[in-house]
Amino acid sequence: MAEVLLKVKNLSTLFRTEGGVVKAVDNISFEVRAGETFALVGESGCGKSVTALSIMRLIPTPPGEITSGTVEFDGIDLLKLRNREMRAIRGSKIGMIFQEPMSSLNPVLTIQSQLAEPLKIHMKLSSGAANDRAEELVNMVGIPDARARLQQYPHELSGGQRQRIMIAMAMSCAPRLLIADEATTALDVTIQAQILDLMQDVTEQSGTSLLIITHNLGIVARYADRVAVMYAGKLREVSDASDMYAEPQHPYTVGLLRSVPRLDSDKGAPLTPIAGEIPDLTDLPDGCAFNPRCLWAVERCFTDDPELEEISTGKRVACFEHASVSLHD
Amino acid sequence: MSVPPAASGQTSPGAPEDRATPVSSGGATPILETRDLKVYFPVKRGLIIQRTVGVVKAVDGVDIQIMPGETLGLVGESGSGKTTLGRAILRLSDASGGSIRYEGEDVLALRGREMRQLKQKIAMVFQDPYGSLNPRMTVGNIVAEPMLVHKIFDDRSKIRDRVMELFDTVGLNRSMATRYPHEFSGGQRQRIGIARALASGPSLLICDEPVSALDVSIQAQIISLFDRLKVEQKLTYLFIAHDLSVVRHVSDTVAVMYLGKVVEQGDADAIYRDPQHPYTQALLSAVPIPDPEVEGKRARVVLKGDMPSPLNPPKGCVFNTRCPIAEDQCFVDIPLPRTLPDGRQVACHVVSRGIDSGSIAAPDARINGRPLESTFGLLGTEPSSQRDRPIISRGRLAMLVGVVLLGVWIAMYLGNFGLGAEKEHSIVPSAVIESRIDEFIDGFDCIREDAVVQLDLSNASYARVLYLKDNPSKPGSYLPPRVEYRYHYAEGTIEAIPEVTDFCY
Repeated sequence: MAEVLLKVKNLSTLFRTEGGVVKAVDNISFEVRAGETFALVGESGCGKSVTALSIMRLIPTPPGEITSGTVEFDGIDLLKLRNREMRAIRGSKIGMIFQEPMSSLNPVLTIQSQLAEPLKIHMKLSSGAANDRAEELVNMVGIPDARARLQQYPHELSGGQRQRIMIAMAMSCAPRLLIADEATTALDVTIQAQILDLMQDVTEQSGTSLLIITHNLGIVARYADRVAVMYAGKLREVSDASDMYAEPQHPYTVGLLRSVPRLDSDKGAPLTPIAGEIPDLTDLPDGCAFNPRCLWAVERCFTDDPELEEISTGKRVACFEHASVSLHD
Repeated sequence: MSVPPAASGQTSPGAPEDRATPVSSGGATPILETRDLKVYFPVKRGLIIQRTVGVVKAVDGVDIQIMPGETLGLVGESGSGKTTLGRAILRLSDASGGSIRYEGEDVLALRGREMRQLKQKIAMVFQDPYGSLNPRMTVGNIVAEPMLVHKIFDDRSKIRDRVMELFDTVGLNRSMATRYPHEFSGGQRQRIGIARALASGPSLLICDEPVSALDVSIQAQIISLFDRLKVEQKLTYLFIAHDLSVVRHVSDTVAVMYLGKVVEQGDADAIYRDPQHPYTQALLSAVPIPDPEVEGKRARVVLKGDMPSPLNPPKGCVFNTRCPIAEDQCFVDIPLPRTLPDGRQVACHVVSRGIDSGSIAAPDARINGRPLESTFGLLGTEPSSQRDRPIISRGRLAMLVGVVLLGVWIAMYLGNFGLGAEKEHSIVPSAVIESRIDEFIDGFDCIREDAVVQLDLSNASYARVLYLKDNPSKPGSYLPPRVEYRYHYAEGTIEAIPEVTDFCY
């Protein structure tokens, strides 16, 4: 087993809002190993983006606050670093790509100056060397005619090309971890496939770990080695990707898999939606937060909240009834 | 065949006459039919005196048919014109040419009251459940409004009863009728939008991306609702979506659009099982399937580049800039839809030629749609140093090699390397290639031997080396390459050409 690169332990992040305190991330623990692709999957509001922002220490405070836990990256607890030390890690040891590339790029600066900036700051390159490296990076992400592109502004590029520039920027300082938060959600499927393949290729080549945050179970199946399923601020199942799809052990995972229409299924194959709505985070039910929608809920689920427990090697599930939960019944 | 004068560009010589008979399901009359429908938007410049500087052909000569009780899934990427087509049917966008017939009636000729009557029979469900409901009306009034507009009931209490019925139908609690849209979640709002669409008692529902803004678990609820309504209310759907998995679930027939044109349409099962148009193939293979085991074995085609600007579409086939199998003709002539033996229509020169030569029944006879005469193949072995994804390592490997010399392409392809393997593998030098041709050719059942014998590398300056793997879904055919390398004979060096990785698999 490869060494652990990122170790998130008992991390909790809450937001104090007018409607009450929202535990966006509630006591979660997981590890990302060196060189692997780890996926954090869940629906909107489940806390997956807040997890990424907490790792990067980008939670706006107030209203947000990381209240407990440690985020060990390469043996250092990021939450204990001074702001200046954290800045040296962001964009250098850890790269991040966001959903909307247009709002992550500065519209009034050329691609070249934006790509060269982290190189000058983190790698202490001279302007000339940084510009040369920027051209190499643009070539690496497969944008033709790199030299001309470098002089252009973000609005002159297509959505897919902007996301390629974001990848180039995130990879420019050879990070050990790349976080992609819904990086392809706004793109068309053919472009999505291009970008994800590119991300996988560049991280594979450099041995960078990839943390994919997505709601798309197909993307997880295609690219991830391991996966964590999140619901209402908590991790519900952590496992090898192939295991999770073959034998999901949490009712929510089962529900998700049953509710996604598949390209390769027969027409009219039954689709079993999860009943009910995603709960309001300021007003979660007692016990397990999934209990109002759960097909396997027993009495205990309405009073006690199950912890994430290791049920077999490499597989952790937070459900009292996990033994009877099955995709096929 | 009727290609109106407005049709721009050249059309294929000797174009067949089957344009006049789009996908038909026996002798029944379609509920909705468009013929050569065009929606053009002028692009204007100038502040006061505006002049037209160009035209965006959002929908350019589209023929579709929907049979009563069926669902036509209209798919394509953003900018393909699928939404404009849906809007044109309800005359929310003005058609620039062609015809739309609803139950035989010419929709474009309808005026005033007749048009209002039509809008009673065709309703629309929109994508954005937040933007399509008036925030200052109670949801009960929102659902009642179409009945007031169409004067369906003269008695208010009957309207109220009907609203309550509709709430039951779409699975909303009756007590919610007095609330305002902001009090509802996305899924509930979409239910309200559906109730409103059903209020006038339509027989055709145009659904424009009705589930794309919803979470997975909620999406399934709404799709199931559509499934149920189709049976209960005997509805016909035009289901516009970019999510091919959703379209797979709901559709009887499918039309695939690209840059204003339908490139392939017909029976949904046939298209999903065996897509013929290279764009359909790429589109389907781009969608990941939520099952790592299936994903690992899948054939994939990744397209190069972006969709061109609709302001300046390419000449000839609109897909030629990204097409992995484009030929000279594709850059000159616009392909017309041709009917395949299974009744489906495909607008592609390469496929058309397959129909003409009768080989389309056995598409395996081509490599990536290329005729065999221009392709050469060698069987390769899996390099042991390869560090690759399971998708690739499971496939049988094949090698094909190509050389460009004075316009003669000699392609050599060899079994699949991932990008990660780039540094480690070595490419067979030309001399070895020549001596190995005979060795490799046994067991390579797809390549004509006489073609390989003509391979002459002595005058070549470089070899184009592409790596291919077997297409597991079509034995005997191959997936497009993932990486291109050039082997320069003089220097004896190998160069990787990064752009090719784009369309490569």
